[in-house]
Amino acid sequence: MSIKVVEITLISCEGLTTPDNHRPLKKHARGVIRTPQSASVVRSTSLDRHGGAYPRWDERFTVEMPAWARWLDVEVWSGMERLIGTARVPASDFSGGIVPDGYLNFLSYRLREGNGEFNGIVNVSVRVVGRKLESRNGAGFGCALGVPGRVVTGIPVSNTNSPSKTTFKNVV
Amino acid sequence: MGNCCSDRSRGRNAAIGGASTSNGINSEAVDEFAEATAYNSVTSWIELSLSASNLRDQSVFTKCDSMVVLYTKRFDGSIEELGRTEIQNSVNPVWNTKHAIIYHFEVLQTLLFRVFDVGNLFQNLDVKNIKLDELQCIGEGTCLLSEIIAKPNRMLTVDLICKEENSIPNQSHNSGKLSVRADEPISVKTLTELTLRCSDLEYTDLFSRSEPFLVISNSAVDGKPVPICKTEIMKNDLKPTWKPIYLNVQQAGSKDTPLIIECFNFNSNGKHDLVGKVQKSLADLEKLHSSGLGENLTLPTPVGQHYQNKILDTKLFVDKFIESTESTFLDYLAAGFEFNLMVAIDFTASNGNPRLPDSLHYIDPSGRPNVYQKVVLEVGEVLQVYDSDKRFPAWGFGARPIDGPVSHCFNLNGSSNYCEVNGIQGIMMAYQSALFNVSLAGPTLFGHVITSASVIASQALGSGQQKYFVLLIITDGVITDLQETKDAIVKASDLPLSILIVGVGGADFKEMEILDPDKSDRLESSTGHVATRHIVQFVPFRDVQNGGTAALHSLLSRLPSQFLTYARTRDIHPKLNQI
Repeated sequence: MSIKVVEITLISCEGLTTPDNHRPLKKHARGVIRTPQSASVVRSTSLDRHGGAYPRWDERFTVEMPAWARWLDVEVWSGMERLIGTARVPASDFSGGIVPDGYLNFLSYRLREGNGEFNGIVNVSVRVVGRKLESRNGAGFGCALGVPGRVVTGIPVSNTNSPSKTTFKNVV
Repeated sequence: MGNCCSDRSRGRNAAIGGASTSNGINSEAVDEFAEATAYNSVTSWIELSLSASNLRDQSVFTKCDSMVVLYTKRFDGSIEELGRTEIQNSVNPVWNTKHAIIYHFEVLQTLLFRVFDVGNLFQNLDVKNIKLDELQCIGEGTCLLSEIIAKPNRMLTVDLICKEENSIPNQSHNSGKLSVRADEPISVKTLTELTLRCSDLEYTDLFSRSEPFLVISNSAVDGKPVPICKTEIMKNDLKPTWKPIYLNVQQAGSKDTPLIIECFNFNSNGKHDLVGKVQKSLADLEKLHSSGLGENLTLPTPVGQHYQNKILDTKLFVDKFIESTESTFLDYLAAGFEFNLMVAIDFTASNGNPRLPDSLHYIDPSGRPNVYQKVVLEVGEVLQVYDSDKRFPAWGFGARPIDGPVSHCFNLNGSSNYCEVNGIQGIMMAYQSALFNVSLAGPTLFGHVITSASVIASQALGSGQQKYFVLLIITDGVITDLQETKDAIVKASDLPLSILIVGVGGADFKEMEILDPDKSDRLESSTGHVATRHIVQFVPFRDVQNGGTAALHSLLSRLPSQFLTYARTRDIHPKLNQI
C-alpha cells in the first residue's frame, strides 16, 4: 500500500449563501480539508474577513492519502460553528487518471449542503507531490519495507498507534 | 463571464477559471455592454526588420543599391504597399528601417517583399518618391506573418525569386535570401496594475440600490471611446474599492493618452446609469497615486440647450499603481509553445447520403470543397503554422465502420491504433477515404471524442511537451449526450485544451450554446465538478459565402487568451531565447 503525498491549496469560493435562506453570505468563511482516515482529523484555513460570499484564502496544505482513500472532502464553514457545504473531491480527479503525477490540477466543485441542496463553488488546486510506501500501519495489516517498484515482504506488526495522531495535526 | 475584455486581465483575474463571476449579480448585461465594442482577440504590434544575403548583382559596373518594398497580399490576391526601407549599398544589406505591423492570431497575413535595384539614378531622392516601375526587381519573396512569429527566434529566411518577364514563365532564378525578423516593442509588455476606489458616491435612487462599477475607455482616434476594461460590480456600496484591474500601454494607446474612467450604476435592464466620469491618462493616475489625493468626478448635466459638467463631491482615488512586465502571447510562441490541432468530423446519417449532391458530405468532382472540408481548411491553414511537426489527430464519430458497431470515435485514417495524419492534406485524404469505408449512422455523441482528445493532451503533459491542443469538432446536429459531453468538458477544462465546435447545415443549434460559456454559466458535471475555465466555443457556419469565414476567425481569435489563461494561472512562463 502506498501513500500519496498531496498538496492542496484552498484557493477561493464563489457565491456562498447561507444554508437557511440562501442569501449571500456575510459572515467570515473558512475552508476545511477532511481526509477519509478519520472524521475528526482536519486541516483548516484561517477565516476570510473580506470576501463575504466570495472568500479567498490561497492557503496550502500537505496531506497524506493512503491508496485506498478514494476521495477527500472540502468543507466550507461559516465562522467556526456552521457548516455551509461539502464538496467531495474524487482522488481520480487528480491522480491515477489521465494526468501525470506532479501536475498542478485546478479543480472547482459545487458545494452541497447537508440536505443535498446546492450552494456555491469551491476552487482548489491539487498536486500529487510524491508517493511513499506505508511504513506504519495502524490497522495491523502489516508493514511494507523496501523501495518502490520492487516486491517486498509484509511483516505483521501490532497495532501500536493510530496513524492520525502521528500524521495529522488536529485543528478543530 | 470574464469580467474584463482584455486578454491580460482575463488571465490574471480569472485566477482560477472563470472565477470572475464576481459579485453574485448576473454580470452578463455588463459584459455585453463592454464587449460590444471592445476587442477580445490578442492583437499585437510588432516590428519587422529586414536583411538579405547574396543579392544577385544586377549591375555589372555599378554597386548594388537595394531597397525593399513590403506589401501585404489580400485575400483576393491584390497587393497593398505597407512601406519601404532605405537604400543600402551592399550585397548583404541590413536595412535599418523597421516596419510596424499588427499581428492577428486568427487571420492569415500574407506578406510580400520585393527587393529593387535602385541604381545611381535615384540615390538622392526620398525613397517614397521613387517610382517602382522604373526600377529593376532583383527578386521577391513571400511568407505568412504567423510563420515568422511561430519561429523560435522569430526570424524567417525566404528565398528571393526573380521572375524575368521575357523568360519562360515557370523558370525562375534564385537571387539571394531575405531574412525577416519580428520584434515586439517593450512597451507592449508593460502591464499596469491599478486599484481604484471612489468616495461618497452620489447616487440616490429610491427604486434601486447602489451597484457601482467602472468602465475605462480610451479615446480612440476618431473620437469615439472604446471600452478597454471594466471592473466588477460592487453591491450596495457607496465607498467602493474595486478589485485590481490590469491595463497595458498597448490598450491605453500610450502612457499619456487620456483615458475616460466612467462610474456606472448597474441596472439589470442593461441601461446603466452614469454616476460620474473623469478623464485621466496613466501618467496622471500615477501622480494621483503618489500624491494620495482624489480627483472629483464630473457629470454632464443639461443646462438649457447645452450640457455642462457638474463637479461632484465624489472622488476617485488610486490606491495602487504598479507597473510590471509580463510575458506576452508572442513570448510564449517564441519560447517554443505550439498549438496542435485535432479534428473530429460528424459522420451521422443526418448529413445525407454522401453520394448525393444534397449531402453535406458530398465530394464535388469539380474539386470544390464541401462544408466540412471548407471548415477544416479554413481553421487548419491558420493553426498549422503553429505546429512544427504538423501531425494532427483526426477522428470521425457517429458512423459504422465496415463490419463493426457504431463508433463514436474512430480514426479517420482507418488505422486501429494510431489517429494522427500528416498535415492538412492528410486530414483531407483521410476524410475522403473514410467516407467510402464507413456507413453513416448515429446518434451524435461528443463525449468519446473529447475524452480521446483529453487523453492525448494529458499524455503530452506527461512527456513534458509545450503544447496546447485545439479540438475542432464539426457537426451537423445537436448532441444527444449532453450530460456526458459536459462531464468530459469539465474534466478537460484543466488540461491544455480548447474545443471549437462548428455547426454546419441547417439544424437548430440552440442547445449547443449551453456548452459555450459565453452564452451560459460555468459548466457543471453530474458529480458536482465545475469547469475551471472556459474551453468551449461554438459557432454555426451557415453562410459560407459571406459571414462564414468571419465567424471562424472570431472563434480562433479567442484561442490566445484561452491559452494565456491556462499558462498564467499555473505560472507557466516562457523561457525566452536570447535573440
